[in-house]
Order: sequence, then C-alpha cells, then structure tokens
Amino acid sequence: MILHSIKLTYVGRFRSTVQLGPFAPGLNVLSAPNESGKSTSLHAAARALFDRHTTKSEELKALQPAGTDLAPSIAIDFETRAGRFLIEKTFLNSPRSTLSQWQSNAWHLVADADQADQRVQALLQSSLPGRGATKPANWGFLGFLWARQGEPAAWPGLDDEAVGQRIRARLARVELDPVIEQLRARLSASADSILTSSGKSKAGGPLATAEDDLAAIEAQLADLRQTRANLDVTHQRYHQADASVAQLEKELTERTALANQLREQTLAAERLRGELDARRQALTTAQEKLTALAADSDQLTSRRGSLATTQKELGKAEAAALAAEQSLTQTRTRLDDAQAELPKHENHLNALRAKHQRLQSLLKLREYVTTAATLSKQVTKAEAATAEIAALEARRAKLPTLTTAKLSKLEALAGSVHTLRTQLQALGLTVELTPENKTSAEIQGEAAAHSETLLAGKTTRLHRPQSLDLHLTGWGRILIRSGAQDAQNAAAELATAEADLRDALQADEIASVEAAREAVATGKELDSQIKIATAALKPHLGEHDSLAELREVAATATRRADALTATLSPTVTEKALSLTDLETAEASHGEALPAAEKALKTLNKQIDQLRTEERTSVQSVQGSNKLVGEHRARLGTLESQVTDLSARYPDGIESAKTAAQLAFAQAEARVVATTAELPADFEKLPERNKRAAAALQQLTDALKAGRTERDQARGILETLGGQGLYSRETELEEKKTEALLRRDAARTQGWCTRIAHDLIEHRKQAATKAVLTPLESRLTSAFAELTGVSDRKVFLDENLQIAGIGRTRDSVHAFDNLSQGAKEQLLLCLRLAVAQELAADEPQVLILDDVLVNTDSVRQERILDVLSAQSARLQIIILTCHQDRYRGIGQTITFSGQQPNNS
Amino acid sequence: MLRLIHSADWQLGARFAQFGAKASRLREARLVTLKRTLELAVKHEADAFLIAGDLFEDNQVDDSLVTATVELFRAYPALPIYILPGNHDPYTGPDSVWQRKAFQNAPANVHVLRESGVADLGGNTYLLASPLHQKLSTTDPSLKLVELAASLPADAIKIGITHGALAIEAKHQPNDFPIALNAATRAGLDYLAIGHWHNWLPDTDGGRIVMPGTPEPDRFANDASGHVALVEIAAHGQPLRVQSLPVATLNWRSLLFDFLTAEVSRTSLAAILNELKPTSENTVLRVTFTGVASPSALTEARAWLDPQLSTFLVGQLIDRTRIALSSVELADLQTRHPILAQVLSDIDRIETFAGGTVPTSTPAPVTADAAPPSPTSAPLTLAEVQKLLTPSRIELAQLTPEFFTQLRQTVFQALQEVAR
Repeated sequence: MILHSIKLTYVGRFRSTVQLGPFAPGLNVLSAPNESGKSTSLHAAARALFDRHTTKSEELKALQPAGTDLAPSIAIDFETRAGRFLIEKTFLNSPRSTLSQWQSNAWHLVADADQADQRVQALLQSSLPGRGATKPANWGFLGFLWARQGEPAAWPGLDDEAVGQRIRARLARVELDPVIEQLRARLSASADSILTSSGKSKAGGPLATAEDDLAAIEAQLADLRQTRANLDVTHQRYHQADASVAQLEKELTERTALANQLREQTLAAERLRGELDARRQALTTAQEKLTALAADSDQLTSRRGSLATTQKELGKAEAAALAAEQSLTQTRTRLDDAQAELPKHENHLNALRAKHQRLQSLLKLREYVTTAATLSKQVTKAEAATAEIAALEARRAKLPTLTTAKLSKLEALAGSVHTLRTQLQALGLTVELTPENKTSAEIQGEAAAHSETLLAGKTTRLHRPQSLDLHLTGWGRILIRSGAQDAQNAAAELATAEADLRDALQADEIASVEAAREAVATGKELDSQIKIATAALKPHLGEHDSLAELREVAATATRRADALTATLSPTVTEKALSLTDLETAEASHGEALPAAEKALKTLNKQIDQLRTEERTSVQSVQGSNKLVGEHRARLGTLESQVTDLSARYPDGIESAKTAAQLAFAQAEARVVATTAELPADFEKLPERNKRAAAALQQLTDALKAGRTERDQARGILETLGGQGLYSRETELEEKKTEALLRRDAARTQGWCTRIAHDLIEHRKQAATKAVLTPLESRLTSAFAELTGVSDRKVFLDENLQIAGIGRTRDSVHAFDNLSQGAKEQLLLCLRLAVAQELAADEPQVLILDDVLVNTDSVRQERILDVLSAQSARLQIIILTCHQDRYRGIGQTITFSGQQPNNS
Repeated sequence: MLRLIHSADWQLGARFAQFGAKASRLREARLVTLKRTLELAVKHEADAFLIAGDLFEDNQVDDSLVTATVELFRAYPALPIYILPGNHDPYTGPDSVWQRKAFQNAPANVHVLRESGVADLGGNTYLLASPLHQKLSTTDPSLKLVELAASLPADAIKIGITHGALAIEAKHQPNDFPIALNAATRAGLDYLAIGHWHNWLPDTDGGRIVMPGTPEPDRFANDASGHVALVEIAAHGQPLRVQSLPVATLNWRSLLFDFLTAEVSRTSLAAILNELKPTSENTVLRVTFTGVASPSALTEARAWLDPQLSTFLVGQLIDRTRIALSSVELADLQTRHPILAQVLSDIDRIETFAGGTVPTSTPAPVTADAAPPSPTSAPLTLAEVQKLLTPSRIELAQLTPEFFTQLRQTVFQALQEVAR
C-alpha cells in the first residue's frame, strides 16, 4: 500500500478540514515544529484505515478537538495492488464509513458501513481485536513499516496469531498448509487440556485427576500395608509370648515341686532346733547354778579372813587415838603462855612510836615558822620595787603615743615642705642688693617682717618665691612680684604639703616635728628605766611569777605554821628546846623503834607456830577416832555376811557343790545328743526357702505378664485377622491398576500431543528460518552501507527478531546490548529490508516518524543516501521537526486548508 | 472302594488387579465352581472331599468370603470335607483364617487339619495330614507323613495330604516346601494328595502323587487348570484310579490378530468370536494385535473389534503393532503435507534416540514432479530433541516403543479428524 493523501476534519487541533498530501511515490518529508499535528494526523489515518467506524474507544475520543464533541472525520486516498481506493470514515457521534475505488477517472462507491471496513481490512491484510480500537499489532505489515516515535524495537504483529503467521509466511515464502495448521491447533488444545506449558499435569485435567486418584489409593494402600506390617509384628510377638509362656509354665511346675520339698525339710529342722534351744537353756541354768555355788564358797572363806584382820587393826587404832589426845593437851598449854606475853610488847612499841612522831612534828613546826618569816621579808622588798615600776610607767603613759615609724613619716612630711619651699624660692625672685652705702632692709615675710643689714659694695641676695616686700631704708618700699605660673603651682604644692604636715601633727596631738622627736627620745629613756626596775623585782619574787602569787605563798606559809602550832600546842619545855636538841631526841627515838618492832614480830611468829601444832594434834586425834569407827563398822558387816552365807546352805556348802556339778553334766549330755540329730546345713534352710519362694513369685509374675502379652497379641491378631486386610488390599490394588491405566493413558496422550505439536512448530520455525537468508542479506547490506563497516552480518532469530550483529551466528553481539543509535538504525534497515521484500508484490509505504533521534550527523547523511536510493522502489514518508536534517531531499509535504486553531 | 475328591489351590479371594473393576466377577466365579464341585462329589458318592492347601488366597481375606465358604460346606452335611492349610493360608495362630468364627463354629463335616496328625476315615482308612504353618520353608512337609504312617496298621489304606512344590530339578524354588518325588512310596501311602501348582499334574511316584491344579483358571497361561481329581482305591497296596473332572466356570482365551495376514486373521478371529459368543459372559478374552499396521488399517480393525469385545466378561485388546506408512502413503503425505512428513521422520528419529526401533519402511523415492527437498529437512539432532522435550519435562528414557506407536496413532488420528 502507498498513500496519496490524507484529509482530516475535526481531528486534534484541526477544527476544520485540512489535507496532507498529495504524497509523491518516492521520498516525502513532512517537516513541522513539535505539536503541530504531524503524528496526530498519521495516527488518525491509521484509525480510519484499520478501526471499525463504530468504535467508540478512548483512542477515537482522543482524536476529538479538545473540549468539543465534534465527530472526527478522516478520508484516506490509498493504493494497493488491487487498485486505488478512498476510505472515508466519521467516528463517534455520527459513525459512517464508505469505500470508493478510482476507476475511469472517478471515484466509485464500492462498499459502505461494516462492509467498507471489512473490505479495507482484507485489502490491507489487517485484523481486528476482540473489542476496542486496533493496535499496531493488528495493522498487518503497516504495523511494522510504520516506525513510530518512541515505539519498542520489536516486530509488532508477531504476537498476533493470525497476523504473525501471515507475516512469517509472506516473508519466508512458506506456503502454510491449513490442514497442518488445524492439526497443530488440535494437538495444542489436546495437550493443553492435559498438561501445563511447563509439562505439569493440568489441574482438573484427566492426568491430574488420575494422579490424584492414584495418590489417594496409594495413601490408603500405605495405611493398609502398615496395618499388615503391624499384624506381622504382632504375629511374631504372639509366638514369642506363647513360647515364653510355655517355658515359664514348665519352669514354674518344676520349681513348685522343689520348693515344697525344701519347705518340708525346713519344718523338720525347725522342730529339732527348738528342742536344742530348750536343752541349751537347761545346760546354761545348771552351769550358772554351779558357778554361783563356787562363788559363795570363795566369798565365805574370804570374809572369815577379813574378820580376823579387822579385829587386829581395831586394837592398833584405839592406842594411836589415846596418844594423840595427850599431845594436843601439851600444845594448848604452851600457846596460852605465849599469848599472855603479847600485850606487853605491843604497848611498849606504841609508846615509842608516839614520842618519835611528836618530835618529828615539832621539827616541822620550826621549819614552817622560819619559811613564813623569810617569805614575809621577800614580800616587802617586792612591793617596793613594784611601786617604782608603776611610777615610771605612769610617766611613760603621759608621753604622746609616737612610734619611730610615725616619727619618720612626720619628718618625711616636714622634709617635703622644706624641699617645696626651697624649690619655690629658687623659682621665685632673686634680688641682689648692692648698696653703695651700708643700709638696712626690712623684709616683709609671710608671718612677720625681719630686718637685714646691707653692707656697702657687698651684694646681698634675697630669694622669695613670688613676691618680695622690701623696705629699704632710704629707698622707701620696694615690692617685687613674680607672675610666673610655675611659682604659683609650686606654691600650691607647698600649701598642700604644709596642710598634710599640719594634719599629721594634729592627729598625734603634737605641736611640731621637733616636739615629736623629743617625745620619742623621752619614751625610749623611760622604757629603759622600766626594764631595769623590772629586772630588780625578779630576785624578790624568786620562783614566783608575780607579787600577788608571792603574797599568797607567804600567807599560806604563815597559816600552816599557825595551824601546826595549834595542833601540837608545844609545851613550854618543848618550846624551850633548841632545834639541835629536838633533832637529837628525834634521832634517838628513831633508832629504838626497829628493835621494839622486831621483838613483837618474833613473839607473833612463836604464837603462830604453836597454833599450827595445835591444829595438827586435833586432826591426829580426829583421824585416829575415825579409823577406830571404821574398823568397828567393817567388823560388824563381815560378821553379818559370814552369818548370812552360812545360813544359805544348811547341809553345808560342799555337799551343795557336788549336787550342782552332777546336774550340769547331765544337761550337757542332752545338748550333744540333740545337736547330732540336726542336718549339717540346717541353718541355711530358711534362706534357701526364702529364695525359692521369691523365685516362685518372680516366675508367677513373669508368667502373668507373659500371658497378658500373649493374650493381648492374640486379641489384636484375632481382630486384625478378621478385618479382611488382603481383600481390602486386593480391592485397592485393582482400583490402583485402573487409576494407573488412566494416568498412563492421559500422560501418554498429553506427551503424544505435546511432542507432535512441538515437532510441527519446530519444523515450521525451521522452514521460516531457512528462508530468512535473503532478508538477512538485505538487512546486512543496508546496515553496512549505513555504518561503513562491511565485515559484519546482521542475524535474525526464528521469530524474525534481530538477534544481533557479528561475523557468525554463534558469536553475535546481542541486539539488546547495542547502543540506542545502532538499535534504531538496525530497525530502520530491517524495515527497509522488509519493505523491499514486500514491494516485489505491491507498492509499499514506509513511514518514519522522527525515529532517528540518536543518530549522528555522519550516519544521518548515509541514511539519507540509503533512503534516496530506496525511494525509487518505495514510498517513504518522513515526519520530522528537524527540517535542516532533511533539507534538499524528496518532496516537502505541508498541511493545506485551514490552519490549526491555536486556541 | 474308597472314593475321594481331591482338590487344591482354590485361592478364594484371589486378586486380579489387571482386570480392574471386573476382577470381582472373577472372584465370584470361584465360589460358583466350588459349589459345583461339591455337588459333583455328592454325585460321585465321595467318601471325603480333600482340599490340599490354599483354599484361600490369603489368611486376611474378607470375613464375608470365609462365612460364605463355610456356609457352602454346611450345605453338604453328609460330605466329610478335610481342609489342609497351605502356603497361602498357613495355620499361623489367632490371625489365621482357620481361627475365624465361621471355622470355629463350622459344621461337623468340616475338618480343618490345623496340626499334623491322623484322621480316621473309617473302614481301616486313615488320612495323614501335614499342614503348613508358614509361607516358606525348605523342609519337605511330607516327611512328617513317614512318622505318622509308622503308627498305623500295615494293612490300612493310608492317604497322605500336604502342600508344596514337587522337587523336580530346576522347576521349584528351594524354599517352596519341596516334596520328594517318591514321598508316597517313602511313607507307605496309597495316595498322596498335594497342591501348590496350578496345572494338572497326575503321574508322580507311580501315579500315587497327584497335583490337581487350580479348579478355576487364573491366567491365560494356565491352560491345564480347571480340574479336580476323583480318586478310587479298592484296598491298601492296590492300584488306584485317578480321574480328572473338569469343573471350571470361566473360560480364559488369548487370541492373536496379525496385521501381516490381516484378512486371514480377521476371518479366523471372527469365527472364534462367533464360537465364544454363547459363553461370552463367562469368558475372559484377550486379543493381541501384532505386526505392522497402517493407521487406517489399525483404526478400521479397532472399530470392528471393540464392540465385540465389550460383550465378554473381560475383553482385553493388546496392541503390539507398529504404525507405518506405505511408500505410496508416505509419498502422498510428503506432497500434500511436507511438514507432517518431516514430523513423522522426526518421530522415527526420536525413537532411535530413545533406544526404540526405527520402522523398516523407508520414505518413498522422490518423484520428478514432487517438491524439491526442503533445506530444513535435516534430521533432528539429539540436542534438538532434548530442547524439544525438556520444557515439557519429558525424558527420552521414559519413551517406550509403545509410546511411539501411540504417538504416531495420535498424529494420524488427529489428522483424520481435521481432514474430515
């Protein structure tokens, strides 16, 4: 198909009729800016060619001018190998479709309404979707030869079953066999009803149903077989338990007989053993009796011996007691004599001690009196010295309180005044008076005036700070004033310094600096005198710190002497005694005292010794008397025991002993006889008996458990055995066979149809692939021309998609990995190749809607070369907003008629 | 004169999984046969009815079957029935079929020989039994009969009964209770009734050991089955008389249809089917197609046979043919449907890879006016085959010759349907 013209009414921006075309048979370039309606007009043309005129889908509504309800109307003048046609369609509000054919230089209506649509569909080998507007996939070859801006780089239409087949068939020149196509479809449907595309059983299909049935049967069979396995296990358990029970029953019988026999033996042995115990008891009794007799005999003999001994010891004890009484009496007599001497000695010593103590007190009194007199004298001297110091300090207190530092400060202030004054004078006026004759001058000072004699011819120099008021005799008064500022400042500083000095003197209440100096000197003198007087007081105070303390000590000494005097009340004689006499008498008494104390001590020691002897004698008397008592008591006991023992055996103890020995011998003989009757291991019999009973019990328990086990197993076996497991399994096995047959049949059918289908598909693809070579050659040639590289081939895959470029099919550079520029160029080449192929049958249009956006200028030029070359065989319509790129080639196409309404 | 009916291997409750839902009909037929045999025993005034093992297929058969069997025996109270447990129904204890209530409360004429021992049949005649207590054993069960016979009067008629395989070299398994071939003579028996194998075998140990086979055939191969033995013994040491009595209910037939001689096969098969028609409800029939068949011939043969098979109790069709096109058919196919011809060639190729056989028929030579050979007609490679099969999860090794037959049939059948 080629296009002659397109007429649009109420389409997009066009609110009236515009025409595009007429198009040349070769290269056409529609160049206009963006959004000028280029693509819209071509899309509208496609709608008119391929969509039902009754379609009201959104794609059609999108053609209406914005905000209007106007019905888009499109007329396409096109040509196929069947002739030249005009299709006119109005959509939406007033749907209409007419198809006219150009014959005899005029348009003749061929069909209208749906028939017109169908006729165009047949002419263009397009298809219709189930509902809604068509898509490029439905547009037949035009779907591919119309390269739209931004469209994916794939073959449109190949996904559509019918169109795809037609495209392949047309391109590959494979004559499609409709029978084989139906066969393929039938096989495909059959396979799909059984298997999924990935070969799994399809849910709800015969294979899945059979597999589900089989799984259910298998599960039931597994349960059943498990039950049978349990039955087998229980069967073994039953036989083991049965054998075990039989064995245990046999053993129980044997062991019961043995246990009974053992019990009989044990009972007999127990009887003999009881008898033996009784005889042994009798033997023990006889033995004890014999032993008691022997003991009594020995005890009687012993008691009699003890009785004689005790009688002898009693005699000795009585003699010793008498001797001890006598010794005690003598000791007590001597003690009474010594105690009578003791008071005399004690009185003498006390008198001696009293005399000596009084002499010592008198001596102390003499000492106290002397001390008091001495201290009294010291007090008097100290009081005189203290009074002198007080007088000096009083003088000192009257002096101004000036320190040396303060004095230095005052002197510094006075110096400062003097210095300032001197400076002022130096700054002030100097008048040199040199009279020719001697004269006097009265100089008026600040305080008072003084007179000075001026000698003839001799220069007298006068200095004053500011002014000089002179009264020169003979000359009258001369006043000299200075007006200098320095003199004024110096005078001000001097005034300040003098005021400071005055303030300082007034503060210390001193008239002048000289007075201050004198006061400081006097203070120092008085301090020296006070120091000397204080030094003179110290010897009088002695060891005491102050006069008051000295006075207190002296008063205390006087009170002590008075108190001792009052206590002793010395006699006149004593008072008359000299100190030497007193000391002599005290020494004499001091020597007599130790001899008297020694004599008293000796006497006390003698008395203590006598008292000890007395206690010893008393103890000796008591011991002797106690021993005598003990001997007498023992003697009584022994006599009583001998009497008792003798009384027990009226026939004499020896005859009783003989009878007991006989009884013992008889009992012993009976024990020996019974022991001989007992079995050798009779003592082990009870233990054996116990063991046998325990073993029997164990055996009984084991038998009981075994029987329970066996009975349980039997119960299970009877229950399971009656369930007809085999018959049930048989039934399931038969069902399983049936399900297996169904499954295998379904699977075989699925596989057969799938393989057959896939083989047909494989052969179709192989056939298609085989005739791809011419297409690949054209594509390779065009791409080589475009790129300038001639040693690469372009390869297509089985689905006619561009596989990639490379030297061989196995080493291609995949299409998806190529640059965007290369992709769009390859697709252009593919379209050119396809268009060339198709052009052999009928003229073809190739529409390129701004598809070379990623192509550089060099290749752009080459593309233009290729397009120019191809335009001899193809109609090519280029839509572009880059007029400069296509300038100078082909025919320029513009919109004619009313211009777009920009409102 | 002592008369015995000797039977064995009734296998009541047997499984016929290969027949699916129809298997129950085959089981029911066995009870019918048993009833007929009991009536036959009464008719022949048998002194005893012996069952030498495997009355039941298994110890765990359904209780209803056991009850039905005992009730059948109860219906013939005058006929002493001696039942020996065999290797299929050994006396193993409480789970054994012989301990079911039906047998515990069996009528007086029913004697289950659970343990080895001697039963007095009266008239100085004794039955010496050696039953089986397990499924397998290498011990000859007839050895016990020697011990049992030793305690009996020398002039007594001694009938042995046991179950096991005859110890024929290379014909028995060592653990299949091997019975010595002179077992009757060795024990001094007048007759030894045994069971185990399912075909009639009467002439062992001078005719004193008889294996009667199963009274009801259970497979196509057992063509000597379907009998019981009528045994007559006049006195101890005297020659005995053994007679085979046919008792089977079902007729098992296996027929062939060879496409090599299709017409002859069809004529012959039609005659036999006609012959079997009156007994079709009691016939288990299998027809096997063999040879190389064209798709149309096969379809036609099936269409003819299928309705007839449906009238039989079991009508099985086994197709072992190989589909093949004649040279003319192939040439025609190549002309009309070149892709399909190529696909058939591909199927042959896949079958070769799968280890199957490739049809011997070769493609017809290309005629002058035929289409030139397609450049795409290169045979499939193994890699291509794998690539074709893998997405559908089909493994080459799974594809059998039968599958390829089915595959070709499927293609042709579908072709016929779309071409109609």
